[in-house]
Amino acid sequence: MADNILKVNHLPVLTWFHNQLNDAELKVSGSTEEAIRTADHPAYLVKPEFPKEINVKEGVSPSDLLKMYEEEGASINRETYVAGKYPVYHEQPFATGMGKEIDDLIVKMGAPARVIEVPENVKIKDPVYLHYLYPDGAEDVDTSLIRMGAGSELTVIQYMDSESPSGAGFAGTQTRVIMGKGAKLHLVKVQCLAEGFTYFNDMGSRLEEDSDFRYTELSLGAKESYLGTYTDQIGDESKFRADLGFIITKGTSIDINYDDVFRGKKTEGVMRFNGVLMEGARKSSRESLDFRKGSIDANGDEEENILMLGKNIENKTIPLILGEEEKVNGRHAASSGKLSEDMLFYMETRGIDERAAREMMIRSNISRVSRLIPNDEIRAAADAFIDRLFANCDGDCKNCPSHN
Amino acid sequence: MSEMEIRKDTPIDIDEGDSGIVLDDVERGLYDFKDEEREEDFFKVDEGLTEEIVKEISAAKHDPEWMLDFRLKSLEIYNRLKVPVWGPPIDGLDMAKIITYVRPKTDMKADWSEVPEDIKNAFEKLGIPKAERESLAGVGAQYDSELVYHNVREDVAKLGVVYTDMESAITGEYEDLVKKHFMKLVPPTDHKFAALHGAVWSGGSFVYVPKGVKVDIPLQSYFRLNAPGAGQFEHTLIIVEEGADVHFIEGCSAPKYNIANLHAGCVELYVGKNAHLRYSTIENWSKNMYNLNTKRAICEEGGTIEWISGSFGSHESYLYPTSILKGDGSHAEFTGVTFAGKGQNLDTGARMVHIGKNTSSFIDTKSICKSGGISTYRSSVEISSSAEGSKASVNCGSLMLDSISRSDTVPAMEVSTDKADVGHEAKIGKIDDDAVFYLMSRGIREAEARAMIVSGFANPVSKELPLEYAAEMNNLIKLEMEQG
Repeated sequence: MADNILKVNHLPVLTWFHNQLNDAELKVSGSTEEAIRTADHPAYLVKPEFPKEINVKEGVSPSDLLKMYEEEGASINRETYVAGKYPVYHEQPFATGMGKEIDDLIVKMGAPARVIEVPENVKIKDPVYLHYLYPDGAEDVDTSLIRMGAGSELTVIQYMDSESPSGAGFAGTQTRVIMGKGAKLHLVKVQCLAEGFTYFNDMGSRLEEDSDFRYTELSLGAKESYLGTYTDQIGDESKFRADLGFIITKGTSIDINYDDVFRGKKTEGVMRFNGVLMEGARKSSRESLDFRKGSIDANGDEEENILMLGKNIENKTIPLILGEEEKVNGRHAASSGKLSEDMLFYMETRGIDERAAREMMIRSNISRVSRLIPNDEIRAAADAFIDRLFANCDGDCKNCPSHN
Repeated sequence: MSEMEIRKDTPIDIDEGDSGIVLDDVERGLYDFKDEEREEDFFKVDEGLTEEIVKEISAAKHDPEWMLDFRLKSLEIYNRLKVPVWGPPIDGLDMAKIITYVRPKTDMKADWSEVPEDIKNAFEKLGIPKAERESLAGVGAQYDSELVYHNVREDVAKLGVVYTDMESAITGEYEDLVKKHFMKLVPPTDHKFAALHGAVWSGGSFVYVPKGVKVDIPLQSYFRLNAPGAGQFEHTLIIVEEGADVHFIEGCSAPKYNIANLHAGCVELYVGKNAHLRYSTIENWSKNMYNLNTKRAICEEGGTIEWISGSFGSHESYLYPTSILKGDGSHAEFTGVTFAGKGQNLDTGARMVHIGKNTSSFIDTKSICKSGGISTYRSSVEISSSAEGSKASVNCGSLMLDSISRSDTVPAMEVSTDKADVGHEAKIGKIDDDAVFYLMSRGIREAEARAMIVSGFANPVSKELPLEYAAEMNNLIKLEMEQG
């Protein structure tokens, strides 16, 4: 079978092609598609335990799910515009950050989906834990729909890691979230895959009135990572908060597309991005606040902080604010650079040696996200993974803890 | 899917004529006067763009042979390149209907009294001779495709400052200098309308400021496009040698027609070691204009380029002055305001390219949209791996004055070294109701209060302009606010 080059992570509006930020290309080999098509699903999900109050259905056909979204009108079609007038690319019945070609791939591979439904007013205290453990050579795509009934509450943690730190493979997750009126969900994704993996995480969500969706994503491993998130804040006073943390090491890359669309009145969206780029790392990020007509008194706030710790780094960012509603407030701030020498000096005057000071500052950048993981074991696993990244770093990044 | 296929026009909810040009406009009597052009007073090429037309323009301008070759190669490139798909739609621009060269049948004069009466009247109405007398070191006035007046103060000329029209420069003693620099910063391959410019350019100014010369008061060029359905393709080439300093101002306007006019000018600025150039523009084309302009500067070691830009006119604009910070320690600033009213789709911004060590750039822009106008701020800050120790800061603010308008900010940043600091901040919001209430409680009527607030929002630009131009800019904002 021929290799498939997917166009993913589309920028909501086109810009200059020389920036190479209008989209990204994800290569999926023919053999990977075949392996996923013929696998027993869920292939690498360590048997999860679900609380009895929630309904879980496995083995749902992905094309049936797409039909259901169409019938339900689950999400307003993903219109994308140049200067307000050009619909670009293609429509999805329920938009996701990475776009339609991931849907097409999943349908083509026949990878069955899981539907998790939390009934109205059911509040689950303990997090649902989904652990994906990939052996060397694993090839898998996992698809889920989380439907939160009105007034329900849940926390879901998806943790992806590898049996061997030097393994390779292909791992993808796609998650759609429907937030009923007044529902609350904290979805956490932690990726600690081995250094040879290609990983994608495609997410789409629809937020009804007064719902509160918190999304925490920590991306630490894999050779190539593609992260796409699309949030449709349809309901008035719905809230979305996203925190993304990542470390990109030598020779690895990450491609990000976070798009928050405000439609309802008094909606609130906050996105925070904290990353560390080590020598030879490549990162592209698209971060969009998209205020549609009618989103009166909406507030959107987005911020990116990137620490750059070595040579030959490529750090690209395009933070969009798109506005077709007058009465909104949108703000974006971004900064990138090296460790602050002033701060290092200050810490040294307080008796903290330079190496420890550097490590503290780097870790503090990521811990803004990792501390949001509501599970001590996974937080500890993420910390251990970070230790290993620094220990194995063979670059010339004078600022990273292993090279000073 | 091809680039063209992804462009599907959806109906635009504004009043359009057959040409897709919005006829409704604020009353801007100062700029909207039309001068009837008698056929016998003007030389025009046919509508459209063919090799024959390019040769005809070249012959009419007495081009040297290398320039004719350059034009023809540019035409080939134009025919090869596609229309950009990422910006405002320019489907209403039909090159087959554009007249690319309209020359008044008069030589360029150095004395206003010798300029033909009708043309002189146009510039009198715009206040150009008065401005020259009061506050300028030199003036160029272009009417349609060619300059009709050019003058530089004697004391400035004595310093060795050259300020002349491009045609004189290219056919006279500066030919080699022009040949060395012409469209080297903006090659015809840059984009389709750069290629178009290369093929049919005419008019514009050539400025040379010798080493160490500081010109204390500004030079100015004013571009007036009077002929309906015409294009203006002026080329501005400025070379500022080591340690020199100059401020160049350009203004542009046109009367309003219900057919498309096109402006595809090109500005190339060479800033020498430790030199300083400020380039100010108040653009007030009429709202039937497609303004597809290209401006670019390159700075040597320690050189500084400052762009001051006010964009008020045009039906659609693509305008992103680019600064290439090649020399170590060079610096660029872009300060701009864009006001998009009814029927306008203005895509403006800046591009900063850091190559030298310890370079710095600063972008500060304000976008305002009203009455269905679309304002897009687009930028790119690129820090290459060689630009160690560089700093860049971007600050863009957008003000939406109603909910039928649209404001987008599309700022890209590319950083390829860890030894650089890049910061970006963007905000979008509305006029503060409390501020309007406060002003009204002091006896100021609402429209005036809102105009004052918008003028305050645009203050970072107006405070950088000479007084007369700041007053003109504030007047334009007032007109848009009160009548738009």
